[in-house]
Formats: sequence, structure tokens, C-alpha cells
Amino acid sequence: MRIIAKLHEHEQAAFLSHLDMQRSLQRSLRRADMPLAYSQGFNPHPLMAFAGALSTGFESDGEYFDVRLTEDVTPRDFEDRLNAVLSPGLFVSNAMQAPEGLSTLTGQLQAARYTLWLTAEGEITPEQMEAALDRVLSASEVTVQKRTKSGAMVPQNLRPQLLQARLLGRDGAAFTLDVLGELTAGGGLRMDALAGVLLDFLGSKGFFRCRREEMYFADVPGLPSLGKGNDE
Amino acid sequence: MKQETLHQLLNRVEKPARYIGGEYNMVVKEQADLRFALCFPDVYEIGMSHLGSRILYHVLNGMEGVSCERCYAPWSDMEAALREAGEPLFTLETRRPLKDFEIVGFSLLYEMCYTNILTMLELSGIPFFSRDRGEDMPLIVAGGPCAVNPEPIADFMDAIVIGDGEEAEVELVEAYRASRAAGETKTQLLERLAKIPGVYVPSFYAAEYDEQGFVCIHPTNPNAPEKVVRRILKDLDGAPFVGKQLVPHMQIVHDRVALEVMRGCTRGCRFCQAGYIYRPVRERSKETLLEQAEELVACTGYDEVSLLSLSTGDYSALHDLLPEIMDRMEKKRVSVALPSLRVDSLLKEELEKMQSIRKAGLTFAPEAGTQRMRDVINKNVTEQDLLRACEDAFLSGWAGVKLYFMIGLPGETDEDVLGIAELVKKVSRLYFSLPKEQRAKGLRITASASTFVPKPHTAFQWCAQNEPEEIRRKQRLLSDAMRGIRGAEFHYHPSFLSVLEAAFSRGDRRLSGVLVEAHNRGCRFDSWSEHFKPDAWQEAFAACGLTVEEYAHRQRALGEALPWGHIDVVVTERYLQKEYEKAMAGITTPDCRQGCNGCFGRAYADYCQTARA
Repeated sequence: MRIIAKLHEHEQAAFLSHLDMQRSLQRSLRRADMPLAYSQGFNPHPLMAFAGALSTGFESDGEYFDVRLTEDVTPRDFEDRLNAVLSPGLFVSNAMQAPEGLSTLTGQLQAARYTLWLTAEGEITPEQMEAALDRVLSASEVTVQKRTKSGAMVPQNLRPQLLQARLLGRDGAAFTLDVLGELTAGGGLRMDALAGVLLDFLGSKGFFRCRREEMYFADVPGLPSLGKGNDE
Repeated sequence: MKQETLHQLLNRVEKPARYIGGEYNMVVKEQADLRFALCFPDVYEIGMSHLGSRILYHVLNGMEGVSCERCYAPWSDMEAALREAGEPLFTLETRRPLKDFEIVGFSLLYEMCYTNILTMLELSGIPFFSRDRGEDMPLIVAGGPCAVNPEPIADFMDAIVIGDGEEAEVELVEAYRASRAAGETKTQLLERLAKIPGVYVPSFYAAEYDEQGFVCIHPTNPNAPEKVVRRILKDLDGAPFVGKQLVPHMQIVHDRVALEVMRGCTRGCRFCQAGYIYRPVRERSKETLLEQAEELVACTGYDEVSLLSLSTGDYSALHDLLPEIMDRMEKKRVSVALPSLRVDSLLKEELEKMQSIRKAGLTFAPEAGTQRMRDVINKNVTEQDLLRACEDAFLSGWAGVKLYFMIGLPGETDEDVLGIAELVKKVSRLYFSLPKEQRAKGLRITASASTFVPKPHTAFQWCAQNEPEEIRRKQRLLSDAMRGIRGAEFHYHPSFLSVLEAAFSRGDRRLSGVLVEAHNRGCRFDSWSEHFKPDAWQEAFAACGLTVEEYAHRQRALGEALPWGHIDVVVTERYLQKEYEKAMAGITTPDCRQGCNGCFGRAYADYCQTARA
């Protein structure tokens, strides 16, 4: 059987790289004594995959993964057993049996929702923040520099990948923004770049914190999709 | 440390997972009456791989009211971030600064990590020298294999545990508690510690020097023994192991379950410090190991178990253990690794079974290229042993073998150096002489030659290390001879690091000044090529009126007073002298399981069970 579940990464667990996270979850599944199915070949590995990679330093309440098992385990049992052996800051929820015919989660991935906490140096008013955000949203092109695999910097337009954004308010020194961005197998909205652009438009410097709240899929029954309100 | 401060630090470093803690099986005690910071003066990936620290973490946290927390040397990016933010170095468990701990203990695994000890103290606002630390400062202690010559760091430490730490550390903690309960001064505390067998309190000893160098060292406090005798854990099988092994998030160097099958080695290689300072051989029973393997795999989720020791092929129950552990582990999809195999162990069947689970490289260490040289160092393996082991490997599906050698050994001639290339050539020819359809495809022989470093408490403790020019000449000679050998590549290392290693492994107390000078000149992580600053080290020696050459390249006379002479590792100096003389005459000493060679002398003969068995 195949199970899909959602992994939450809080606090310090945010600072794990995607590779760390994969290794950590595999070991947790083994500790939970799940009947894991393995790949064939010289170095067999558990058949498990995340829908997407999360940037190091981001928290998440929406990392989906799927795993193949050789025996049936109820979704409830899967959650309980895994939660009993996960490292601090990690837990799973929303486990369900994967629908028939699903190839990969990554292939169905379309978008993700984020909360962005942006702290800018100096006295920035909510109006200034709104204005900076409007400027991004009303532009047709917002060019940022992207580092390629070879290390070279190339310009990239991030505007098409920004689907929605609104200012929610303030949380201490930070402005809180709700952002919906494209996210597919080929890439997606880079939140660090968006934060950089906003700070630029504010004429300020600062830092940000980010949490992925949810992922949206094209056609996977039971998983959130854009515009269908499954989000709630 | 506040969450937000931590996050800002973490955002600035390349590998934040080094500093976040939260590993599965981490022990956090919010309430504790005694906090012990277990510090490792190297980066997280290396420190987390150290088995001794895992054992101590378990033993100390097993004590009621004691919280043992970990701290590793911060990489240069984190050091800079901490300095800029004005934040102290902190432990992973409760993020407390080291200054808030009752005891801060350093593991001494490698001399070239000593500058990191100073970095860690400095980032904690703790003075380097024990004499500069008042009653309000933590007790600074150390232990580990390098402690058998503690002198280069003696002035920094309040106490140093010599030998096995499982029991001594517990006694040290208990003595600390008793002393505090009695409202004693630091001196009174140190006097208590000096009475614990195996605990060395450097401030109770005075060293004397003249123009020639070291003269002698003697106790100055009535509670300090003439000689500090190494602690030896008698019953390894009954001793505590690692409990629930920590499971790191990031990849570490030895990222697997490590089972210590035995401690000590009976082979008697004359260059090998571990071979002398971990005597006698003590084994864990097959039953204990099987039980520990099951428990550790279950509580970690690791998919690999490694059978660790100085020479696992010599474990007496290996042929019983291997089939059973492999069988049990295979069911759980766990592979079994044997990291320290000698070429003369007969393991063909086991190799074939291991191949079925996972393919890994095989490593052999002939150490020297000619039989004459191998007799000098008492590496009792022959060319036939090596060729047979390689043949077994090639026919069992391995095409990659690593061969470790040393150059600069005592009495080495150019013929011995060139013998390394000859041996590699024979391995290569052997491979191509095997039928194509039976041998593994794609021969890869990786031969590496490290520079010999004479170590204290070995038969070669008196020997001069080759000077760097001589080492470079030998490296070139060998490199030329290696050219054109099919399937082979050759690696060697810059030699000045080995010179420093030789100086610090046999150094005296004057080197503590050199360490401070080097630290102040930015020396950190000296064994990492990107951080190594040879010029700064030369300046540091000069600033103290010393030369690295005097420490590394001078031949010492037998009977000369040695800076580590007050540390008794139980193998007698007379025995080492005899071994040295036999080496120079090219006479080998058999494995002591074939008959006792008398290395412990009369006083401690009953510590060893090996000869009687």
C-alpha cells in the first residue's frame, strides 16, 4: 500500500536541509518499524518521496510525502507510530491512503502558501509596507538575481510565480504577510528573493523568517487544490 | 540563549544543523544539580562520530542529578557570528554557556585540535590557564588517547583523566560533589581529584628545564603521586555502552551504529600508540554484542552496524559472531561493516556475504613496502598475506582497494620506499592475471603514504622524525615509481602538519605558550588544509624561544628523561626499550596471544588475561 502524510517542521527542525530531512524521516520510519518497501538494485532504499524541497531555515506545516509499505497500516496507526519516534520539532498529520493511479506527488504539485515575517531596519509604517507590496503586485516584471548551478548570477523575473500576497499585520517588529506562490517540480517562487525585493522597495535592510503553510496539488483526491477551498 | 538570537546566528552559517541539537535520543535535563559540558574540540561531524564521547554521554547522564551536555568547536563562520553578536558558545542540550557549568571536559583525540580548545574557552569567557581561573570558574578537565602525554595542554587543565574514562569520570564527578558539599576550596578539590587513580592534576607537578630542554618533572603536593597510573577498565563486557545512541540530522563522518567488539590489540606494531595504550585486550561477548546491535538498530533507525576495534579480525569469537549478526541484521535490512581488518585474517566467506548486502571499499594497511621494514615496525604481515587478501577481494566482487603506507619510518632506506611501489605493482599484476569473468570490473588501487609521527609510549618514542625536505624527497621518489602502474593512484600529504603533530605528541609544558601564540595568530582547525597556517605556527614557536625542529627531529637517547615520564601507561619503559632494540635489529615480536611478552612488568601483570588464556 501507499500512504501520503503531511510533515510539520517547527523550531530548530527548520534548520535541517532537505537531505537531512529525507535521511531523518527514513530513519524515523525504520524506528517506527514500518513495513517499508524497498527499491531494487545494488543500494536498495525505502520507496519514499517528498512532494517538494523546503529551503533550509524555513518552518513548515505543509510538507507532503508518500511512502510505500508492504503491509497495510491504517492512516491513524501510521501517524501514531511515527509521531512516537520523530525528533523534537517534527510531527506528521493528515495521513491517508494514496489514491489509485497517482504517479508522484511532485508531478501534481502546483503551488504553496507561506507566511512571511519581514523585519526591516528603521521605522517602516504599515502604509509603506502596503505600498511596497502593491508595487510588486502591480508590476509585470520584477527582476531578481538567481544563482545557477555553476555559480553564475542570472536575472530572473519572479512576478509570474507570485500568485497572491497580502499584508496581515504586525507581529512584534516583523510585518506578517500571507503569500501564495507557484511551486512545481521545476521550481517556484523564491521567498528569499521576494523578501529581498520588498526590502529593496522599502529602501531598507533586514531579515525574514518563513513558514510554508500548505501545498496545493492539481489532481490528487484528498489533498488541497487551488480554488476548491480544501485549504480550510 | 534566546530563540531569536539563535535563529539569527543560524541564518549566518553554512551548516546550521551543527548547532541546533534536537537529535533523536538527546538527553535534556532542565533540573540538575551538576552540569557537565562534554566538549569536543573539532567540528560536529567529527565529534559526533567519536565512540568514547558517546559512552561518556551515556554514563554521565545515567548519574542522578547530573546533566551531561555536548558542545563542539564552532566552524569559523559560527565563531565569527558569535564574536560579532557578543554571544557565548553554548551547549546543544540546554543552550547554556560553558561558564554556567560545574565541569567542562575536553576530549583529546588529536594534537592538531588543541588550538580549538582555546577558541572554545575564549568564546566562553574562560581564562586559558588554570592558574588564572578563580573559584567562580568551572573545573576544566580533559581525557582521551592524547592524554598519555598531557604536557602541551597541562597548564590549561585542572585535571586530566589518563586511560579508560567510564569509571574515572564518575569518580571525578562524585569527588566534585563531595568537595562542594564540604564547602572546600579549589585546591582542596584538586587534592581530592589527585587521589583518584588515573587522575592527573598538572598544577601539583613542577617541570624543570635547562638550556638543553626538559630536565624532569616532579610532584609538589603530598597528595599527588610520583606516577599517575593509567586507568584500565577490567570488565568490558559488563561495562556500560552507549545506551541510546544519538541520531544526528546531518551526515556525520561515522554515521552508523558502532559496536565496540573489543578494546586493545595484541599485535604489537611498534609505531602504534593505540596498540600500547589500550592494552590489555578485553572483549565483549557475542551475546552482548548481538543484544546491543538489536537494541541500537531499533532505537536509532540506522541501516548500518560497524564492528569497531583496533583489529576486528582478531576478535576471538568473530567466526561465530559474523554469520549470526549478519543473518539477524539482514532481516532488518541493516548491513554490517568491518572497518579494521588485517590482511592475514581469513574472511573470504564473510566478505562474500557482506558483498550481498552493500558494496563498500576495502582497506588494507601493510604500512611498509618491504618485509625488512615491516619486521622493523613489527607489522607481522607478509606480501603473501596481502596478495591473498587482495585476490579474495577481487574474486569476491571488489575492484577497489585502499592501501595505507607510512614513509619516514625509523631506519628506512630508499629501497624500502620504492618497495611500496613494487608492492602496489604486484597487486595490480595480480588483478590482471585473474580470469576476466571472475574478477570484479574496474581496478582501483588507492595507495596513500602518510608521514611517520613518533608517538610517546611506543617503541619509537625516542626516534627522530624525518625532516620535511627528506620526506618531500621520499614522496617524489615514490610518486615517480608509482607512475604507470595500471589501475593505481597515489596520495600523499604535505609534511609540515606531521612535523607539528610530532612536536605536540612528544612536547613538554613549554608548548602551552606556543598554543596560545598560535591561537592569537588565528590558528584554528589546523588539520583542515583551508585553515592551516604554517607561517603562524613558525612565528608562534619563535615567539616562545623554541623551535619545532627540536621537538620533532631530535633523536632522544634511551634512558633520557621524557616529558611524559610521570605518566605510567602500565606498559613498562623497559619493555619499550627492548622493543626498540629489537626493531633496530630487525627482530619481530610475536602476537602476545601466542605467549606473554611481559609488557606490563611484574607490578601489573595481573591486569592482563590474554597470556593466560
